[in-house]
Amino acid sequence: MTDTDPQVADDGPVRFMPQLISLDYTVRTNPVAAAFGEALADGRITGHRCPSCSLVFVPPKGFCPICTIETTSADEVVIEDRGMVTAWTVLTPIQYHGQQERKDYALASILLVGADGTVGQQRLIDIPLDEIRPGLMVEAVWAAPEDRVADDRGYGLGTAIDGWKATGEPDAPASEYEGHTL
Amino acid sequence: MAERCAIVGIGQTHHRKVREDVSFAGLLREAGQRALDDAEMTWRDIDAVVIGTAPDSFEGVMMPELYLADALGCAGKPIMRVHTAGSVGGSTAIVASHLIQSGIRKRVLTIAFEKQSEGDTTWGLSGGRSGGVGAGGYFAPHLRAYIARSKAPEYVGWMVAVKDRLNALKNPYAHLKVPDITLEKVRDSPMVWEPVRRLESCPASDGACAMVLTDEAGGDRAPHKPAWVHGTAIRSELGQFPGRDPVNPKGGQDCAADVFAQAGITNPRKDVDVVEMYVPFSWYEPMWLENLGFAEEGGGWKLTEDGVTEIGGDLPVNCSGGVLSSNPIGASGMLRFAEAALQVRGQAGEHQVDGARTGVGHAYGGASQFFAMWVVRDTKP
Repeated sequence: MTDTDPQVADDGPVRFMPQLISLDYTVRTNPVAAAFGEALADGRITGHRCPSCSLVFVPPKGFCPICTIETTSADEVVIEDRGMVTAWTVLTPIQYHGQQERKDYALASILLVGADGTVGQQRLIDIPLDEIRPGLMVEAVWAAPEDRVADDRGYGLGTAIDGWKATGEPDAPASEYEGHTL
Repeated sequence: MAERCAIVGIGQTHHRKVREDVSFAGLLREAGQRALDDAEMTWRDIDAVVIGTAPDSFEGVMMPELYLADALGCAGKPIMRVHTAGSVGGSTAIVASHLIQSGIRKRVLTIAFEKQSEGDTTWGLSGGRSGGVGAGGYFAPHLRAYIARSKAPEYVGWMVAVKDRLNALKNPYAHLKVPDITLEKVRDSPMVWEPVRRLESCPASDGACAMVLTDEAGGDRAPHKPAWVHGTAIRSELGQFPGRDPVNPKGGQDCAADVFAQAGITNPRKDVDVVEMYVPFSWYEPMWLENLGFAEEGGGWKLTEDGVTEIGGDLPVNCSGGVLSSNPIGASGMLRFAEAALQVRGQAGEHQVDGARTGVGHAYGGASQFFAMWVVRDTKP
């Protein structure tokens, strides 16, 4: 018996049968996430600056979770597509249905210049896995305009940015990334 | 004054990778029946059921509590579902205890479950999209930050894994058993989400846990020694905002401070005899020891290193083998709460801590943002 000859395999009675279904659904994206997505499609990363505490949230949530007040398009600010790595992990991708990742890769939290919180789970590209470190300066590698699809739930940066590559600048000092584990 | 709450019955399933012998309903019946047997009650004696499980997308069955009501003897009775992701088993037990303490119900069955084999948790967490990181991938940067901040030696994570896997050998219900576990074996297991190795991670399990809670009169009549609830606390915080520290979350600190104050605990390290903490990846043991106030910040790993958290140590942690050994996600928090209660009832069998009188159950969930704890004792509050 070989791996390529399943017909002679006998694993006993059938107990489980994976059955894939398909389901079409429509997500009604909230207006704040929609505006953020439109800016991303345009090649801009935007945030909201809380009018009370002045912290800048990226992506904008439409409210300040600290002051618990609403923020609106009037509070919109443009953020640089450049920042520092604060935290990261190297993943061995789990092969669930629909997973396209096959090789180990790194995802990082990045504190963008002009933002007060990180964007999480950002792909690092062209950076050897053992050279990733906190404070490493990176810049966005934008996807082609037609491929920039925002996350309809308002999380993260969708597919607008393929990943982040090192800028070659000196590392940011610890004082700038400490306190930004997320 | 609030009504006192007694834990008079505890049951759990044998947790396995695949419980192909039972349906969802059968799995819950197994745990529920064991809890009722322990309490010497029948399904008819129960006034209300409080049920918890992790997000429905993990198994692809929406609102399973609706179809499970019949199996839980709930026709015509109140049933309530609790949702707090991984901490849900703890939160569910707390909701049940509040139904007793508020005087609304006299006998409540609380039950939590997960049948990971019938779904795909990482798929569920990814929203069906490629590139999902799963729980381990999400938490790994937090663990790395803890190691960097505390300067803990790498082998501390391996020590937690060895301890919990040895403890699991003493627990007949535990899923993952690795009899020949050693530090070297953990060290040499594949890196999955750096710095988390495979043997430092929880398995995916099918399992359920149930408890029967009663008022004081029910506790006084209980056929077996009850455990008594001395404090319950829940806290949550948003998953991400500037200033949030996932290594030592404020929500966890506040949850612990609240529950200890309710129970009159001023020095947790000294006043608590046994702890069941939610440790799905080994580094969470030292992190939560600090977060909950059992150790000073940066000092949690020294308790692990010194053997303090072993069954023979003076603050045993996860004598059952913990989440590292059995992870039916929705039930994992309730298992922590139930194991703490088993300890103070003196019913933990081979993993019993001699003379345990004050136990703490802890669970966390979501993006390290939901926290639930209770303190139980062998005496009334």
